Amino acid sequence: MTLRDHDIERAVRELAPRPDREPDWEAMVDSIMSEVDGVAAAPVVPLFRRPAVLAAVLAAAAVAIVALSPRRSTLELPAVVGLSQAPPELPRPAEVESLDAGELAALDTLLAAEITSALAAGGAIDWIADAPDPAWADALASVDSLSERELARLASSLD
Amino acid sequence: MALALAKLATLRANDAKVSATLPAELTDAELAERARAGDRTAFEAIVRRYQKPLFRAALRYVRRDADAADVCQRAFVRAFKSLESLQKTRSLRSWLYRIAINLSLNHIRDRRDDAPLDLDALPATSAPVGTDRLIAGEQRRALVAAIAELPPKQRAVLELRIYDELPFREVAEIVGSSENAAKVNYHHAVKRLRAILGKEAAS
Repeated sequence: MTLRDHDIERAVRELAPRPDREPDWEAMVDSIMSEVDGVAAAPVVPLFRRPAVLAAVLAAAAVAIVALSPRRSTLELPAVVGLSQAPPELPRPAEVESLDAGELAALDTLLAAEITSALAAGGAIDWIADAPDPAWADALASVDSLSERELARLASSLD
Repeated sequence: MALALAKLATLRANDAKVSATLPAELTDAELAERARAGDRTAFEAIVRRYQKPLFRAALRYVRRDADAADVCQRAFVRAFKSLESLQKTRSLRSWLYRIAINLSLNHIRDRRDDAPLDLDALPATSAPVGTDRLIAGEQRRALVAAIAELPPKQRAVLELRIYDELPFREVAEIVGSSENAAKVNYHHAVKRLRAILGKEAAS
């Protein structure tokens, strides 16, 4: 039997995972909106409105925090896109150096939340792609090894 | 107490007013714009529009209904918090998918110690008995295993195309690649599955 793309697609479609039980969609909306209302009602303290400024300050502060607290483990710097590229010679912000342990911990938590949010806004896939996962490396290599002409040919055959 | 009730009534009246003026045919971009401006009803409309596809996308990764619901909820809350960063030129749908898939992958990564996928426990196919199913039995199990073992990007591209029927342009946005690279990943995934199915059929 010769299998065409259409056959494969149909076979895969047959395997679409189904929930054991259809969720209560209305309850899910209520739950989401309830949490969203909580977020909206929480006081917002804008750290920095310009993303570039925020990224630079985050990088500098995170590097300083790690330098100040070698045993700190809540921030996994190598896993955070952008921060891993921060130049090592970044100066330590004086205000960070002057913080006590409690303030540092609070700043740490704040930074982790900001970084998580920044990743969610678009950096996370890059972070995953950069992760030392052989499967990702294989997938990327298989694409990268193709010439532009091969890419174009394959792309047009799938249009 | 009376004051609180009065405030609640005002809020509800405002919601109702906004809802009444919120056309059902608003585009994603219009909804996102309104939600960014603080229109709660617009964000709720986004949730209603995308909760099912995001739930199903999450379910493909995390496998358990409760976990998929949790990922779905966290994806929307995260999207709400990050609305400001959504570029106007970017597709709301692909942005939401990207958040949900990232959270699903994080979820899997955090639970690596969980039991591996039990292929024998997979639910029966959704196709009714008696229809001309293309695959069955061992072939089916082999295909499920093959999909699970695809490189993450190939798997994501394949599933987003076949299950969610998204155009390659949006698939590319979600997985963070060029459109051509998404097409090539799709090609590789189908080729790999074809080889597995062909081998099973021959044996």
